[in-house]
Amino acid sequence: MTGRSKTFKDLVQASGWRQINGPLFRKYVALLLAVIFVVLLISGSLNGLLEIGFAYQQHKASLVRIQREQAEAAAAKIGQFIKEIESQIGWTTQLPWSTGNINQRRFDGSRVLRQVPAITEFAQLDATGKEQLRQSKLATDVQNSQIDFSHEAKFTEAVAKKVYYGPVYFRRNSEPYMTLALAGIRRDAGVSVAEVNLKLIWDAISLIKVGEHGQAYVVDDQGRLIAHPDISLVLGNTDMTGLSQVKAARAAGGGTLNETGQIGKDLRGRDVLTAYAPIAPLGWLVFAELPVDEAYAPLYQALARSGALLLAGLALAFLAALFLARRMVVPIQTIRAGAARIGSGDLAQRISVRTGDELEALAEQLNRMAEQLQDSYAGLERKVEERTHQLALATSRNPGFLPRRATICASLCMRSASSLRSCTAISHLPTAAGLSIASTRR
Amino acid sequence: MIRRRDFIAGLGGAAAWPHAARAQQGDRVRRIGVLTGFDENDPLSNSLVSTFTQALADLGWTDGGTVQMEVRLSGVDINRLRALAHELVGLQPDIILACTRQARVALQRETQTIPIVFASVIDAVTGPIVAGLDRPGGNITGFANQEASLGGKWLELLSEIAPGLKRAAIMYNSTAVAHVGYFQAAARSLKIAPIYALVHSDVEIEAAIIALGREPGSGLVVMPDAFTFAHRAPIISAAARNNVPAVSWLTDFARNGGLLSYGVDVVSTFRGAATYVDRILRGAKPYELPIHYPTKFEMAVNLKTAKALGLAVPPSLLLRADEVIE
Repeated sequence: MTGRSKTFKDLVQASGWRQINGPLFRKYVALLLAVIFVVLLISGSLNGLLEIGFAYQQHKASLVRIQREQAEAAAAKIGQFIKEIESQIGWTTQLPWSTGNINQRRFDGSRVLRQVPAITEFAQLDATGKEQLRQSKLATDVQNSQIDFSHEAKFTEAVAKKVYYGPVYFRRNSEPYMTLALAGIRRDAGVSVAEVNLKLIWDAISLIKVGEHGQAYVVDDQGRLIAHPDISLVLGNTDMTGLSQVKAARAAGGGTLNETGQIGKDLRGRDVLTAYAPIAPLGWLVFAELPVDEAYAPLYQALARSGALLLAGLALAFLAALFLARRMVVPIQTIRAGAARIGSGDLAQRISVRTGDELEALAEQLNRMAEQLQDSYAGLERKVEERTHQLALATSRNPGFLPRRATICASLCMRSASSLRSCTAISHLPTAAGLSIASTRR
Repeated sequence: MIRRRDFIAGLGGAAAWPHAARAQQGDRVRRIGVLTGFDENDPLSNSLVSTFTQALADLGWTDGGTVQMEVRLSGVDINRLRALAHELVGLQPDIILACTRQARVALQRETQTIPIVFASVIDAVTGPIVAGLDRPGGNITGFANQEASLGGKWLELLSEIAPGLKRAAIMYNSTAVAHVGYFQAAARSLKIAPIYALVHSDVEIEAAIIALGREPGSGLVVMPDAFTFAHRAPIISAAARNNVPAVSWLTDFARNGGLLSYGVDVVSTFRGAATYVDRILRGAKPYELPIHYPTKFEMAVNLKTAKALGLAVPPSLLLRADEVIE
């Protein structure tokens, strides 16, 4: 540190910096710097900073909008997934139940199981809510069990609203399932009930790309995770209600999230920008999340660019201020030095300033003054010589004349520039009598 | 064995190019053990192991590059399997793939610390596996390829394809098979007399199937385990010679002359297991990864065999079949 400052000091001395580094120079530097900085700030960087401030809000709003659209697209896809299952089941509820058509129903059931990979079990209830047939991909089929479901939601709701979406349940406490029941147009067609493995929504969800590192996922009305690109999280039966954005979305009930709800933490604790969309009939929510770092990367870049520009501008302004101040202070210093030398008696000194402005005029004035001084001094010397000569003549003629010399000398002093130096010059005059000038000054 | 490993290495290496850089992140070479109860000359089991190797290579773990594979195939000899399990654990690999239930059990006896990923293990809920399917504890997780309830489903399918079925034998090698209970329940409701055929050799297989063939209205349900996997060829041929309709869990069974098969796409479980191995090698803990159960089941019907047995395959079955061999 000291080494560096020492070399800097050396540098300053070598460049002759010291000579101009006075208070005036510093004042000029500060003044110019302030002026340039203000101009710079208003015209460029401040503008840029303000711009970024506005852009931040706009960027965030558009990101949230894009993410919301993505969430809506995902919600539509999942809605489609469910609708397709409904349409596949749909035609099993078109014919009324009769004892004769059980084989046809069985065939239809087999076809549903074959067509829809997500359906693990398919049951057909008659118009009174009794189970007539249950077919499964895993367990043995059951015919004519006559189990009464007439008081259960999957029958009553389906009859009342034509379609029933049951709550999500977790088979083996791991795989998410939902009961989907569908009633026919005719009341006597009964109700078809499918157990849908929601693990297969994964296909739809894993295709959705949110930015580079973002993702989409689905939570059910209880806040449990039912679809996620990492299926292990779903099978791990992950509770999402702890996440602030899930809480906020459930509270918002389908509306737009407020400011604070848009920023949350994901399961790994990263800050994320969140938007969501409801899947209307199911009461599920699709979330699209993007890490905040990634979301705001363009903004941070713009900010860094503006900052760098501002710094570079400041550095330039400083250099410019130094240069300008130097241009102004150097002639003033020259004039000062010149004046000092003239003052110390060097009347032959001329100040050379070629700035073409008032400073040059000032220097010229001083030069003229020095010239006039020099002239009048030369004239004075001549007169003194003459008088001395006359005096010498007079003295040689009349020795009693001597005391008058002091008077002459004093009057000379008065008439000349009355400077001490003139008097001193006179005091050096050769005097035959050897009188001191001190006595003439008395 | 070495030749086989080299073959797999070559196979993996060819496809691993684009991901090689990604796997470089762990600088040291990881060691992956593979233990199976398969026979080393079985082309199907070899293709399963190479499916796994290939899937790992696609994830950036190339054998001979970023990972070193230690493949051990014991055949059905349980003592050899245990010895190989001991040997593998002694090598202190980073992770072990257990390809059969017996392999998993043998490995569990040897280590409680080295992560074990299973594929194709018959039923995860049978052995001493950990509390809760969603969060397996300890050092073990994986992809189960069976549902115990299929034990009843097979009998039902058999009774559909062979109407007039009066008695059916379940053929199994390991007593710890969860399917048996479901088989019994289905037999009760379908009014079919259950027969238990515990077999340990080709001779016992032959004897059991001959006994079935003597009485009309008999059928065979082959239980899933490494033994019936390895001995599927003698089972298929004995069933054909003795006119016994048979159903198995393995698609390959129907493809090679068996009557009917219904079960999980085994290949996909090996691919799945590779994703878990990948995640554990990248730092995940086995207990963080829930056990996967199969969602897709495939059915294959061999019409040639049906014709030879004099059976007309009902349309309801044909409708459900993913593969019909003619």
